Formats: sequence, C-alpha cells, structure tokens
Amino acid sequence: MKHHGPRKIDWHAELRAAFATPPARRGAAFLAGLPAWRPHTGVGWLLWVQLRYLRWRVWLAAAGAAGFCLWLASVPGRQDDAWALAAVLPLVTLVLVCELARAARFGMAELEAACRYSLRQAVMARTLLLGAAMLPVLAAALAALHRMTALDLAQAAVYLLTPWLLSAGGSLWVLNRFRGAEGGYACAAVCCGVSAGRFLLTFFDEAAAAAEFLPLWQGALAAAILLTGWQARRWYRQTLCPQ
Amino acid sequence: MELVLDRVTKQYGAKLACDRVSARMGPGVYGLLGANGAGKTTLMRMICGVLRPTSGSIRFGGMEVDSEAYRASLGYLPQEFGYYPEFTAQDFLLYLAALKGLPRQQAGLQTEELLELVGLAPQRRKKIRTFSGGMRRRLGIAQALLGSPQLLVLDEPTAGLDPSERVRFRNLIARLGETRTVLLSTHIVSDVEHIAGTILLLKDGVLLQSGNRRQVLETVAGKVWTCTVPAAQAEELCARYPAADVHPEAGGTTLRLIAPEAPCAGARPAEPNLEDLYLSVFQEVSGK
Repeated sequence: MKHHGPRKIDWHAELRAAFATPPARRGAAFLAGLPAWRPHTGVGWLLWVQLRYLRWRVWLAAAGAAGFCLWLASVPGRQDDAWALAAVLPLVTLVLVCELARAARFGMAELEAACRYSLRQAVMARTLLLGAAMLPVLAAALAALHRMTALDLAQAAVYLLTPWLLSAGGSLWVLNRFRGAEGGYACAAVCCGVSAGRFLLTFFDEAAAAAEFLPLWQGALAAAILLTGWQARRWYRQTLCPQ
Repeated sequence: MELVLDRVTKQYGAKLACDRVSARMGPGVYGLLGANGAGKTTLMRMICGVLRPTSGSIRFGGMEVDSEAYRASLGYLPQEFGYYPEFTAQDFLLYLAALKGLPRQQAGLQTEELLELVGLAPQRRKKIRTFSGGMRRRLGIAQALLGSPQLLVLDEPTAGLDPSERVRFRNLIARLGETRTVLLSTHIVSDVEHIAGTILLLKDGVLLQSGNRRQVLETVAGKVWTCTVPAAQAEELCARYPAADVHPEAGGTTLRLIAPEAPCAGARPAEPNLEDLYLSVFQEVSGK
C-alpha cells in the first residue's frame, strides 16, 4: 500500500479562490439605473465659453474707444475737444448692450435656457466679461478728461458717467419694450441721441462745466444710476427668470 | 428614471394654460396630442425649465426642474428657434455642446456623429442662414441629442421635414425611446400613431386621457361610420358631424363620420384610428 505524504496545498491559489469576488448579479441593470455622470466644468469653463463667443467688434469697440481717449489726451492743445470723451462712451455702450441682448434678439434664448449652464448663468458670465471690457474704456476716458481739463477726478467722473449711464439705462428701457431687430435700432437711436446731445452741449461747455452746475450734474447722475439699476433689474427678470 | 408631473398648473391672469396636469413617464416614447392653443408648448416649456409653473412640481429621476443636474439630462427642441447669424452648423452644435458642459473633444466627436445622423455632414461648414427650413429642423434635432440626454422633449419635431426625412426621424426616435424618455408633441397624427407607445390628449390645458393606442381609441369605439351618399346629403351630414374623410366618387360621396350612432341609412361601422379620435375630442366639424 502506497503511503501518500501530506497533500501539497497551493495556498496562493486556494486563498485567491476563497476570497475571489463573486460574479456580478444584475450588474447591467444597476449600471443602467445610475444617473448620467457629467464632468464638473465650473465657472471658469463658462466664462471661457462665453469669451470665445463674444464677437470681435466688442473688443474692437472697447480698444478703439480707450485708444481714442488716450490719443486725445496725448495731443497738446485739444482741450476744447474734451467733450468727445463723454460722447464716445454711449457708442461703446451700444455695442455692449447689443451683445448682451443677443440671445433674445436672435431667438437663441429658449435653447440656451434649457442647457446645463442656463441662460441666466450664460448672460451673467457675458455681463461680467462685457463689464471687464468697459472698465479700461472708463478708466482711459477718466484719466484723459482729468489730464485735459482742470477738473478733479470726482468731477470728471460725474461728467463722464452721466451720459454713459443715461445711454445704458435708456437702452435697457428700450429692450424691455421692444424685442428683436426693432430693439437694436431703438438702442442705436438712444445711444446716438445721448452722444449727439453731449456734442450739442459743447456750445455751452464752459457754462455747463461751471461749479454752480455741478449739483445739477450730480442729480442727473443719480437719476441715471436709478434708471439703469431699475431697468437692468427688470431686463434680467424678464429675460432670465422663467415667468 | 421617470419624469413625474404633479398637478402642474400655469396661469396667465384669468386664463389657465395648463390645469393640474399629472403624469408619470418612464423610458419610452410619449406623444402629446392637442389642437392649437391646447397648452402643449406651455407644458413642454415648463418641463424644460423655460417657464415656471404657477403651481405643481416637475421632477426627473428625483431631480427638480430648476436644478443643473436636471438640465444636464435634458435635450430640448423648441417649436421655433433661432441661431446667431455668423454660425455654421458645426459652430452651432459646438456652442450648445459647450453650454451643455461637454468637454471639447467629446463635443467635437458628438458634433460629427450627429451631423452624420441627421444628414447634414456635407453642410457642416455652411452658414445656417443658407439652410432650408427642413435642414434647420434637422439641425435642431441634432442639438437636442447632444450629450446623450435621458429626457428628450421635442416640440413639433417633424415640421418642415419631407416624407423620407420624417420616416428617418421616426426610426431614430423609436430607437432612442428604448432607453430614454421621449416626449414629442405634434399635429401630425400619423407620427404619433407610428412611434408613440403612450398617447396623451391635451385639451384647453387639461390632460383628458393617456394610454396606449388601443386604450385611447376605446373612446371612439363604435362611433366611426362610413357611408356613401349623394352630394347634397353629404354636405348636410358634414355640417352635423365631424368628418374624417370626404371622398367624392362617381356613385356619390363617401364619408367617414364620427357620430354616436349611425348617421344615415346604410352607414357601416369602421375601425377607428387616431385621426378619428382627434376629431372626436376636439369637435372639428368641416366647414366650421
């Protein structure tokens, strides 16, 4: 009778078999029931997308206006043309407001509203970018006006911001009432009207810039701020908030 | 994942555009049928988060309608939509893919696939303003499919498509409906008949009925009649009952009428179809 020694056990294989993961049961059904995974892309991605889709005319208008202000300030003997700084700002406003209202103007608003990044988020991102485009223009105009005239920065800001905010508030007022192409034309009329009004004021510039009229300008600025804030709030609610 | 509408209501002043609409929709194709002004587009816009309901709730897979996760699962084709004038077909899809949060590489791949799917690959670099109405519609369908959405809402998707494009679209929707919830609204009854597993009837903002074809047709069972009558009598009958078909022939005029009982002597009962149901529910009477 053969005597067999103790059986040699392959412990690696035995342990592997003992602790092996059992085959998946109902695995396909489980995976099918999982919510769709979406990559987290974030605010930076949204800003980048909106930046790529802003039309080049926005940057051209902002750069052109800022460049014009700086050039005017650098040319000696052009103090009488300081009015042009305030007259240019409404024209830049026109380009920016039209860019902001593009989705509604071209019928893309409903499609954008149903995307992962909603219309509200897209327009807020656009507003941030357009505001960033406007800041250098305002800074250049302010610096130029301060340099070309005897006005201090605060006073110069009043003379510049009043027509700018009037054109912004007026454009938003128009957009709250007219949609589509008519809104664009009406905004153009408002901004050109403010710009032309500022030009006409050059005939009374010395009087208009006198210290005793400053309270009038400050009152006009306050009214322009209120108008812009009120119409901007209304435009955002009408355009961005589901009714 | 299920789309759950719980007493969804939309009121504009004194008018109720949608009145306590409740429904549960799992994977499959759902056809929303209703006359003009029934509230179909209002309901679809609320489902897509474009309009806020006056009351009620809308959830998909437990996600609220105004959440980012809900919108990430949604594909929407509006009844009318525009485009930025400088966009080509490719630009349009890439832009919307970006807004849907798709990474650039994935957006590029899906754009190519979808343009092939809707037969617009040769026109990918052409401006959308040069497209015909049917081509724009197909592009709209393509953008709705970006991101492989689990919930597809299509408002009049076949408007402007020629018959071969409609058949192609129906086949596509039928395939998609196997694993997704697809809700489509249309006036083209044959589209609903061919591809919708469940039909929802909406009238004056109220969901009258929902069920499969057999179930909804029970409403008009025994109420559809065909008869051949002289022309003068045909006119009289058409003024009295909704007429699904009026066919002048040599021996008289053959009518298909919706009536609670035989409208004239010699009338034979006919097998009802969805068009008969539509006429019966919406009380369309020819000449009125």
